[in-house]
Amino acid sequence: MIAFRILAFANITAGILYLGWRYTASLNFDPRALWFSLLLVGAETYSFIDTMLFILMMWKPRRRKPPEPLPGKAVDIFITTYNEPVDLVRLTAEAALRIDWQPKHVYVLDDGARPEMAELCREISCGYIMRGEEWRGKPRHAKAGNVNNALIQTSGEFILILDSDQIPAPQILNQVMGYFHDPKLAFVQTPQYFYNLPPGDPFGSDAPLFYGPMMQGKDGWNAAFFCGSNAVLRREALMQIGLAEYATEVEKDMQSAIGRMRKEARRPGVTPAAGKAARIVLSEAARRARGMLAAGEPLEKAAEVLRQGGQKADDIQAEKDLEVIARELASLGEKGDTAAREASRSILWEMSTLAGSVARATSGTDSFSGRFEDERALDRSSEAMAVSAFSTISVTEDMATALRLHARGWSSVFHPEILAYGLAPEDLGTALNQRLRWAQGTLQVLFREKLLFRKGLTLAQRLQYFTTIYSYFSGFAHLIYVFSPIFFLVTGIAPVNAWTLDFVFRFVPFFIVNKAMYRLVTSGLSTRRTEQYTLCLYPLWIRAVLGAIFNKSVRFIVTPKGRQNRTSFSRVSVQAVTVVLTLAAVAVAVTQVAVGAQSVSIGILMNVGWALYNVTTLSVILRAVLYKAPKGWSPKPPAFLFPAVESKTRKRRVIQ
Amino acid sequence: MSLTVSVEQVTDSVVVFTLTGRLDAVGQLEVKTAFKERVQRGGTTLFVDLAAVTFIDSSGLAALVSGYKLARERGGTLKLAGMNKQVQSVFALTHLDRVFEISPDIDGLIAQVPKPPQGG
Repeated sequence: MIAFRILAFANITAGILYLGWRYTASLNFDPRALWFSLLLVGAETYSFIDTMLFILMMWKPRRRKPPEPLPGKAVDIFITTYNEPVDLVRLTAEAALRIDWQPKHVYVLDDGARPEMAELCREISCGYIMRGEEWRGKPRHAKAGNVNNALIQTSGEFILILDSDQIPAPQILNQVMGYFHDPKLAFVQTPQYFYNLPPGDPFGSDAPLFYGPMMQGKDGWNAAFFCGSNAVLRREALMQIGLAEYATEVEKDMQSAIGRMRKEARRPGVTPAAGKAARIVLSEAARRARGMLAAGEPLEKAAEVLRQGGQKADDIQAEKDLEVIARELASLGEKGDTAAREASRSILWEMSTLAGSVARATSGTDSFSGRFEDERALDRSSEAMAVSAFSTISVTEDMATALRLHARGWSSVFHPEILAYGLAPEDLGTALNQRLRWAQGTLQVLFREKLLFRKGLTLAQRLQYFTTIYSYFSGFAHLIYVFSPIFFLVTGIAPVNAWTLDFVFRFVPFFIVNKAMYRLVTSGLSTRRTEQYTLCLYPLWIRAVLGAIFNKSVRFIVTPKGRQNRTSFSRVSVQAVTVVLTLAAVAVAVTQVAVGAQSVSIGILMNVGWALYNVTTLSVILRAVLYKAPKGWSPKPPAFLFPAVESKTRKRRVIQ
Repeated sequence: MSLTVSVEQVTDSVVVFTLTGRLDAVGQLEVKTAFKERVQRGGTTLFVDLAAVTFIDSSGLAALVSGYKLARERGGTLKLAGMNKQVQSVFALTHLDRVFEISPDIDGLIAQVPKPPQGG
């Protein structure tokens, strides 16, 4: 850790010196070059901030050892499935039944409602849960909805969530349950590990940096992420955020209903006196309701106060109108209209009760009280379930759920031991879909719900979530990094005022210290692919950011397990074009040098080197399109997950 | 949602107002304005067709009463036709069904209007 902090310090110093020099002394103010110059220094600034966020993340990583288990706590094991093959689910479900823990209940959450899946569950005697009638015609909320649906039908104090392909190790609960001695702990996340990674991990699925140092770093700030599978959660925490979210939602609904009611009070045509009186009543009701919510009184009661306030406002409105009517009729009565006179008298006579009855008889959706009867009222009847523990706002429900837990003061743990073995996408197209979904979903959290501005998060926690979101903007920086050498080699217009030794002497130490720091963090891990894919996927990150900004809706795409059809080259056309352009730019520069139109300079050397680095890196994804698994390669989950077949009577014995 | 008012001048003094939609606090403004305008131009017998009114509230009632008053003050009247159940119940509640002459449909009212002398 000391070594890391020293390198981090050196990195920041070198970075500030370098960027300071870039801003003050290196910009190329030639009008043809200025925009290019600014873009590049902007991208470099982005990357430097990225590094600083990384340093913050890694400042005090937490390396955990499993504590004493917490015996006797009931655990429900949820296996979520939608369309995965029965045999795949069988592997996971049978392994779940073998988990060494009592009491436990295993449930397959089948969002596909398939008879053959129900049959499997009967055969191996585990629970089977599918959506009920109440979901008909209502938003289903994909996996989050599936889990929420199961939560209300089960009762175990803890929940182990597994994707259908994640085969758990028998000791998974023994290893992680001990953390729950801490009553404020909401969840323990363990790594996602893939047993089917093709040799060389051509699609960059392996994430040892994330499910290792990065999560440990986040854990140090009590900001470990929940990643949707291979995690144990405390039901109480989920229910609490579910209820709290529900309360917030209802409160929001109430506030907007109050807002609408108050606006209504100012609408044209309302007798000014009535409008004013109604506004006073409504504000009073709103204030009382808010006070009740703040005091933790039942929402039902607060809603009742509002409803009564609305009715009172309706009564006032009716009363004022009736007064006008009575006055007009009375003046006609004075002129001899007996019917008018009588009606006026009865109206005034009955006024105390009449206003109320008229208000009731005329309460439509536009009346003040009617504002509460719309579809987003207290019962939230537009939703199948009123209370959703798992966040349903985003297709990446996990991150939003974790964030909500953290914001409510719950803590989290990352346990670095691999305790479940799953499947990675086996073709590039599937891998790309998955990445796009994660990226877009994560960004949705930021843009749509402003979760990042939630009260209750510590600054460090907020920055951990921000880091994840920030990193998706790297696509734009990489776009600039990829096109910089092309532009320079072809046009000769430089983004710096001179490719001098001055530049080299400032850049190289910064570059070396930076690489050294990352190497230190990732030592012992194979993170080369991850690094390459960060650049390779730049068009995808850009698409995700734009999609989130322009509010393009993202559907929850179930990641297919197993190999799909061959990926089309069109999926990586941007990368292919980039490679071709880069090679062409190098060819142009080399030709110019060869014919003597230009002499070899530091600038040309550096940019050719840079261009070739880009080509090598991007070619990784182009090769991935053509990737074919070696003949006879058929990955199997580790054998220790499957103890020798035992007789049914012995099955209850502890399997370690 | 909102209210539309179409006005038809049957004779110099007889005007038919056909209301469509919700006669509530928003809709009543336009009705009042229409009444005022026609009464100023000499309309004294106002027929209001409520057959297409889906909803009325107390401010809608007040608007009809204001039209009634305008017409009466000029020696005329305001008659109503074609009420749905909700509208009827509000009229009964407020005893206004005893003030207004109410017909099942507008054609019945128009039929009562004496034909203006032809030619000449």
